[in-house]
Amino acid sequence: MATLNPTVDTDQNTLISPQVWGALRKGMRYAFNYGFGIGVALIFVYPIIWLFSTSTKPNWEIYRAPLQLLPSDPQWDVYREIFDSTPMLDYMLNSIMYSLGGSAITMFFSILTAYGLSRYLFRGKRALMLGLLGVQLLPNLVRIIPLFVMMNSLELINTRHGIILLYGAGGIAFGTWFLKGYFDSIPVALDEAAQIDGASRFRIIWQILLPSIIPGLAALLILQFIAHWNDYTVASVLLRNPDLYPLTVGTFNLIGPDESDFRLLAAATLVNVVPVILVFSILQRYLVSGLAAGAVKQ
Amino acid sequence: MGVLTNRESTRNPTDPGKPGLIERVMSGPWLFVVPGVLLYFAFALYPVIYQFYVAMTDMTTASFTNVNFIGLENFETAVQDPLFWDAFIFTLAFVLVTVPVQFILGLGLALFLDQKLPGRLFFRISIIIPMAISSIIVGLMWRLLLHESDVGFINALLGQFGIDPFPWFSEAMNARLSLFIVNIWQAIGATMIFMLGGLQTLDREVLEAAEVDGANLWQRVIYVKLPMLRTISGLAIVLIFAGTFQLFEKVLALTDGAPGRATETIGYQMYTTAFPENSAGDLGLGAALGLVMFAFILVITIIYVWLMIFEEEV
Repeated sequence: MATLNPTVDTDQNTLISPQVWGALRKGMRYAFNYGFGIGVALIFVYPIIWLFSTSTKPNWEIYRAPLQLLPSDPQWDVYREIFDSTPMLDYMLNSIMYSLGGSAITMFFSILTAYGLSRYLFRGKRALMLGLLGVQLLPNLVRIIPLFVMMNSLELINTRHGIILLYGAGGIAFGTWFLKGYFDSIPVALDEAAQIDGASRFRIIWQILLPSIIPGLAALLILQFIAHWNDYTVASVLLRNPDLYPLTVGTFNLIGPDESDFRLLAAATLVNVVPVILVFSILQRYLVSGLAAGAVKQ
Repeated sequence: MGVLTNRESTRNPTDPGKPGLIERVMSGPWLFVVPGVLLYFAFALYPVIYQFYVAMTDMTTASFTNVNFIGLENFETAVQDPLFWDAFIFTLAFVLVTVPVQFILGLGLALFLDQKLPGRLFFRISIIIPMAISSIIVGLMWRLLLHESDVGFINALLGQFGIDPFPWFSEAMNARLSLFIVNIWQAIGATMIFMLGGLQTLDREVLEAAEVDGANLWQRVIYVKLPMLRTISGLAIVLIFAGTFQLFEKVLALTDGAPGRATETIGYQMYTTAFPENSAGDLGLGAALGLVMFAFILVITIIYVWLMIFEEEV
């Protein structure tokens, strides 16, 4: 503004011309914003970087120079140790299997349910939507005991398909709400045109609707995958056989309350964290737009 | 071909006028809606109802079959146990402190990231990265970062400023503070993203009008942006409430309820009652504690659903 009207007295400093003052203020605001932003980012990211650094330090350096970022002599044997002499790799494969399996079941049923709720009007629809929304807010922790008893009588305890079924079923309400928003954004005229051409409803979903909501499907898949990957409560209750442990349960049982080996603890937590952060960072574009659409529909 | 009665003709699937039951089902929404809803309610809603039954029995992890109905005895056991009330009060106090702090900090970060700022994508990703980490792993990580010796990252950092190592876990209040910090560190990204989503839907013209009228930064936030975000803020607060109230995994991994039982939450007590490490768990008593949590979260849920109706989402 000041550049348009050089006679305006900025009254902070009459020796500096308004143009210079404006540029200076702009520069200071940038500097502040960047300083603040970088400071905040470090609070959330530096702990993870520090863990990585600790996991590769030689023993003496962990204790003598805990703040040093780059190890003088990086050592990777703790990672070899983790994958060679502990079952972490098996745990990881279990985690991948459960997370993908659960997400696939959720996606399948959520697509159908969301389509039904988006394309039909029927009595009780609103109540059903509200019911799904309300039940979805209840955390798994609150129903873990009855679930344990139920799964026991269904003989699904200590089985891979049991936990996959439970993960898959548990995501349907969220998935339905999430995808319904995307289906609603596609004009019904598109369905009708395809119907006149003789396409069945399932073909309409598969060939017309799904290809146009790929960002939504991707976001839902990532969110579900991460949620299952990170679950501890359900898996720790349902799976008592160590061969079936996912990464979270395996890591916690491996390390548990023992914090004597800094390097092992740091490395084991990183093995949990790195895959999910990679997925998250690479695909976060879908996530943020997807979350915004799901949480605050315009 | 005999003469069909009217009654028979309505059953005839080839009659285009009045579809039969099977056709009505096949062409209606039920084929799509029912399977998913049934599967969901079987594993998400039914257990909540079943929990009322379990809470009124003496069921343990050692015996599912020989179960006696004992009425409200588990609830009496719970309320007569001072440890239950300690956990109850701690959980409630923890939630009441977390809600305003997490909301205000999350809103502040959202306002910061709502500016036009090259590189803000990087800042945004950094803040939401802890959200992607499992709570149990967050607890383990921070046990190292907050290690009481001067080897722990935070204490080493404090040492740089000449501050003695802080005992993060050995005093009751310190351990509670540690839990609070770690929980905020992980959970704030969710609040930030939620509020940022809200801020980005605001009408730009209104904001520009306020700026032209000479409202300064604070006035624009307090008198223009926040009133427009009333419902979204309500939803965010409700979500923080629900998320904090079920605090359990971070307690297990970070403090394991210690020192003494100073950091035990209701969720922690419920889990360790039902699934202790080395003995048979008391599922009945655990379920009773679960119902106490359920009662609170039910209230929160009703407010949440009500706000969503308000927001005209449904």
